[in-house]
Amino acid sequence: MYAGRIIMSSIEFLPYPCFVVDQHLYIMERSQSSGFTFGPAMNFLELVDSESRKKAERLLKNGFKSAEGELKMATKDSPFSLFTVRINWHKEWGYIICTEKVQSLNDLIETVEKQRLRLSETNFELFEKKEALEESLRNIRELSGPFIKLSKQTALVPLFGTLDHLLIVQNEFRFTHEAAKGDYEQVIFDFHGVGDITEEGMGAFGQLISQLKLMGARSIVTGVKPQHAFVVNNAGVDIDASFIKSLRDAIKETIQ
Amino acid sequence: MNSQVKHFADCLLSGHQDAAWELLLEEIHAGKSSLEIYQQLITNALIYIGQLWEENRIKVADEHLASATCDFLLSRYFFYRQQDNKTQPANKKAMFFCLEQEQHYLGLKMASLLFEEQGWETRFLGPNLPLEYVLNMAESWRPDVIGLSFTTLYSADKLSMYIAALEELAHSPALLVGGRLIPKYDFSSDTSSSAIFIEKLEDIQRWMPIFVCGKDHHV
Repeated sequence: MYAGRIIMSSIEFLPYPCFVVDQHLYIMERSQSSGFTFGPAMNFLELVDSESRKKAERLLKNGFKSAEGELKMATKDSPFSLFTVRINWHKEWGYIICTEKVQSLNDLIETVEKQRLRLSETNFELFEKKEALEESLRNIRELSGPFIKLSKQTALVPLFGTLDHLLIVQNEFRFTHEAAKGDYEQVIFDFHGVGDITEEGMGAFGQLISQLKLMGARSIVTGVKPQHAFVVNNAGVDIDASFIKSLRDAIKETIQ
Repeated sequence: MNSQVKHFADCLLSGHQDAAWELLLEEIHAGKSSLEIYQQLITNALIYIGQLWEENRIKVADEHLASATCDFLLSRYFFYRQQDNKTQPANKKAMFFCLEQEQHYLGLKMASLLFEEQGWETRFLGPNLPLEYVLNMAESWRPDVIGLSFTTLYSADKLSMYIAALEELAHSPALLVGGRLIPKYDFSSDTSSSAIFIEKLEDIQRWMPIFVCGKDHHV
């Protein structure tokens, strides 16, 4: 065919994947370069990723006008590479040129991905540090209430740091368990090392004292500072314990 | 597609984080739940952006800018919500990732945030994750649930390989599979397994309490 020969000579050596298609997008001719990039195909649409085909048809047929757009295409290396595809219609033939966007786009994707990874790594790092910190806090709270045997009848619990709800909740099982195991008659809670006291902390402390009482151990509180006294009084909790000013007096009184 | 969704999509495409954030705030103040915001505003905006590409009105580079903007907004949204909504810990762990070569991760991120909002501990491993990384993380962290996502038929070919490997895990986590193709095709024949296919985000919201109660896992 005369037209075919003319077409072939016009595109064969172009340095891009180029095609000449008919009105149904059947490939009449293609450049050598297209063979390096794409596999064999009868129709141009076969080279387009199945999910891009509708777009391809709309773009390339488009009233047989010139058009340009992005299509995902199956190459020899990848099932969907992004190409800018341009078409120009002349009489009944469509002249197509495909330019791969790989490099510029991959650079962009990589940069975005690096940013995202850095953010998520920072997230994980912070998250792990937070977990480690919480674990340390738990340990500190446990160490802030040692249960010490003074005699067969008496145990001493010196409390340290902030007396809040967590300090009591985290340790109450250990205190009641130890008290039951040693069958103590009295437990001295020493407040000398206590900084702040919260109302919730005092509420939980009151409940702990009640539990110990039910188990037969009376509680003695020592070392209450003037700034504690206000919270202890205003917490609205009835603390069923004896208050003795100094630890020395309490020990003297209980161990005789 | 309502005008608010289009407006939100326009903000994402132009990278206008602040304007998009204002829209999210309006939704929050209108009393919308996270699920409603994720589905009605964000997912629909992302679908609309996909359509714009189909119609040759935007380029893939525009989509990438929109994704990055949306990713940031989701993190900001979640942080904002968490400020006044302290949920009780559910004492459950869930891990999320996209199959290898899969770049679309925003749907999965929203799924992950829904779990986190219910007090789950989550790890979001993001797009394009090779199987060996997934297995390493799953073995050491032992999540109760592993959620995976893909959006192209090409990635779907790898689905059965991932599922089979994850089913071998000694602690038998529940496997959730999501992505935009799930409502369109039946992938259950590709997997032998107990994997649960999630069509919409609301399926997750329904499934989570059932799983926590230890009843039937199917949606």
